[in-house]
Amino acid sequence: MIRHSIDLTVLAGVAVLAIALQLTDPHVVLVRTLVTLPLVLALPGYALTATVFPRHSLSVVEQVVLSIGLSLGLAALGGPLLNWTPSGLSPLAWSVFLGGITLAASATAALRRARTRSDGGARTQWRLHYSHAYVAGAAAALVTLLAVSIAVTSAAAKPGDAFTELWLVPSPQETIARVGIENHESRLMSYRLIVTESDDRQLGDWTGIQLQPGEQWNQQLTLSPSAGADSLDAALYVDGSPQAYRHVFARLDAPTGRP
Amino acid sequence: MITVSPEREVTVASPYVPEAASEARMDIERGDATPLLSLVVATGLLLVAIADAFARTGASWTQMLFWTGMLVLFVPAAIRVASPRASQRERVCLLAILGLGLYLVKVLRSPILYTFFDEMLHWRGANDLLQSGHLFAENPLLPVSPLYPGLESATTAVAAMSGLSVFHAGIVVVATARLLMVLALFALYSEVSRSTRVAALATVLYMTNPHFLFFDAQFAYESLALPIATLTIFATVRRSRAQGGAAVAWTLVIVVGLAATVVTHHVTSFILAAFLTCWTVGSLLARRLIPGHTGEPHPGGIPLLAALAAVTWMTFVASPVVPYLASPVLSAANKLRYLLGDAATRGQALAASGGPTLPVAERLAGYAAVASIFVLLPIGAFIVWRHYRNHTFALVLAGLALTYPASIALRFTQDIGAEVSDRASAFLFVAVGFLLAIVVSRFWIVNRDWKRASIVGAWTAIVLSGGIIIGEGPNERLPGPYLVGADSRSIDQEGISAATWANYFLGPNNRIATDRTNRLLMGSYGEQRPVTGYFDNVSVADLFFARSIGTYERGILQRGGIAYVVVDRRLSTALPLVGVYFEEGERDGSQALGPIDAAALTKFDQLQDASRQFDSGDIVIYAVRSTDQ
Repeated sequence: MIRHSIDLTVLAGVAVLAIALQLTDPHVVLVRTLVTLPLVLALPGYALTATVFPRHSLSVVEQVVLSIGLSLGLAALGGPLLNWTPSGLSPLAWSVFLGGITLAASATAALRRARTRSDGGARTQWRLHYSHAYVAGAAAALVTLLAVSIAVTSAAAKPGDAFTELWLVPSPQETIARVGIENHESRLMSYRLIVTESDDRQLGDWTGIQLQPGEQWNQQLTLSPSAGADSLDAALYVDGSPQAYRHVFARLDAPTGRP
Repeated sequence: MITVSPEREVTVASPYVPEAASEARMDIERGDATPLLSLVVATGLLLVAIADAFARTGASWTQMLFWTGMLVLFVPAAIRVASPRASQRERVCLLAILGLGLYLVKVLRSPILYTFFDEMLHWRGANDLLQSGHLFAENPLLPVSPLYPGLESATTAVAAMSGLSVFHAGIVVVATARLLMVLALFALYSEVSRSTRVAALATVLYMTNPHFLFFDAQFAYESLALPIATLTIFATVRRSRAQGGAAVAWTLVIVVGLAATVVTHHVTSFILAAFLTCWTVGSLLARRLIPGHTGEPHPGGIPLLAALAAVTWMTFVASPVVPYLASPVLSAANKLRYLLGDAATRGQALAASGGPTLPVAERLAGYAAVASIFVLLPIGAFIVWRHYRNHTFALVLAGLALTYPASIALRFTQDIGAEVSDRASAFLFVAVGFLLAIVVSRFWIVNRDWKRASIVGAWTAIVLSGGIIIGEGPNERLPGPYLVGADSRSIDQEGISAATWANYFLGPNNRIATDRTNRLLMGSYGEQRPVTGYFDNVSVADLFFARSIGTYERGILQRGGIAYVVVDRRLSTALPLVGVYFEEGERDGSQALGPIDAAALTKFDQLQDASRQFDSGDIVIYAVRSTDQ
């Protein structure tokens, strides 16, 4: 029976592996991805199709359509169904749900195939032709990869996105305040930051803050309640310019945004 | 190369194509163009990728390269699919390559993050689902989306089990759905026409619908629901002709398809039920009204089941969807009534909804595409009526296709009407593609008829271009520098970084007031709780348009419980391309009033009880007191 249902045996193996991976929780994304994608997108549908159409009365296109379509349909329905379970939509619940359907349907399909004395293989025969077609196909794949890599590279380095962030966030009790800078200028930047209170008392003057692109600078300020100041002011300067490049302030009796 | 053995290449004689019976013999004889054409499709993709890359730098010539890439990608493969020489296997492979190739055009447009408006709404929902492990969490960006969680369920299943991000999992799920759409359509058309050539042609022509390239390729619920609905229709056709155990098997497929469609997308589930009902009613009418009608099987109780499932889900789970859907439809109907006789708006009828004025060449291509379809549809309907009136499903498709002009008429209402027209095209083109394919297959009959092949190639280029022009404006097709109020073109690193900062430093779910673009970013990347008119019945627009904060503006802060105001100073540099800065109805005659006043955006600096907590140059975040002072 196994010889006639090799495809179903492989399906069952992948389903068991998927459940095992979730139980053991390995942190190998590649392995998990290789097992997960077919489990969500093809295998349950394939197994169900094999169950309800055991005599291979379907064309290749119909078989593919049903495998993908039923799998996507079950994945869409799985959410509302699993939501009623105590574990919700956890990775383990998903793997048991989809793997369980695949296992059960594969077993049923194998039994039905045995009963109908089918030859176990699809009537459609697939052949591999080793020819120049491989060259064209490989070239097409390479050109597509090149297109994707160009898109990813150009999108990641999109020009015109040069900016610097400055922030000043007092704590809810206004005993401390966090001040910070993040450089998104696409080049090394040198900053000067001056923080003052409303009575012009300077809380800090940091010069020569060197930040690489994407780098962040943080400082925590301790606020003195007895100072009598009602606001904090932070001004950021670049390239020796006397004009503030960024400017933030916090009114100490004003809200911090939190309820 | 994988090939299907010749014994499966049996083609049943088609009533539509006189020469189709010879396909099986020809399949065995000829060479396969699939590998070569896959390289051509890849070359088209490369040109589009280069156009995208230069467009990101602001280069102005990239539209031409984009169109060149699109035509290289589509036209040669489309001609081969339409050719009487192609084999069934070749057609199927080319359809899959074309479908996925066109999907990649959208991925190349936004390859590292979601930038389309609807994608951000669903991305927020999927992230909420992944974090909480439970459905139906509130989504302030699109309140009805958690009530139709099919797409988010499938995506988070991949993400949760594999460890992939929601973005990458979503790309894989939508790509698979795209493959399903193309193959399910082919299977459906094959079953109806009994000709793989007509089926493949119809599928290719479906790909020219305005929503295929971008809208139905985005991470949004229709992108999954439509393919599953198509599978359901195909299964219903097969079931109507099956007997015994096979009929039971197809019924199981239908039940899964119906249920999955219902939990995935409201409009698709309603249209599926309506379509199946049309088929049943058409079948019953045909038996009575058409002399000699043989009484072809119809879907039986399936339409009732579909309607019952859609209404039950809507009633017990998704009741807010009623006002959500009713509003744009009523608005479009009112506008259409108002505009009857108003010629002033017609010049832009074929512009993409919400888009800017189109270049003349694009407008001409759009009109040419629509006009050619208008001309060919009656011819296709005539062929169906004259020769194949016993085939009820084909008659229903013909009837639906003839409503296409009405959907185009909706475009004259602009805005919402144009959007409804766009949305309708994804469904109507299932019928439109079929009728057009019948006409083309009878026009180009003889092998090596290069003249007719050229005409078909040129025409497919026009309908593809027209579809893209109608579906997406020039600014949406390609990436590029920031534009004010332009949805995907307004998504940039500064906005994303500000939203990410808000999530980390302010924590999630703070009630914020901001413009349309930053609302999207703050609600998704920032996990904040934007206050809106449609969700909270508090319109925040006046808070920004006012030159100072008075009693009325404080009332908005108070009623909205607003804790933070996010100001994007770039709003004052231009009018919004989508027509609104914040929400529909934000101010009367907004286009005539010019861009929002810069002073109105900086007024929060003078607000006594506001803290300016974040400044990134263009974007400033204020903490404000929403309680009465």
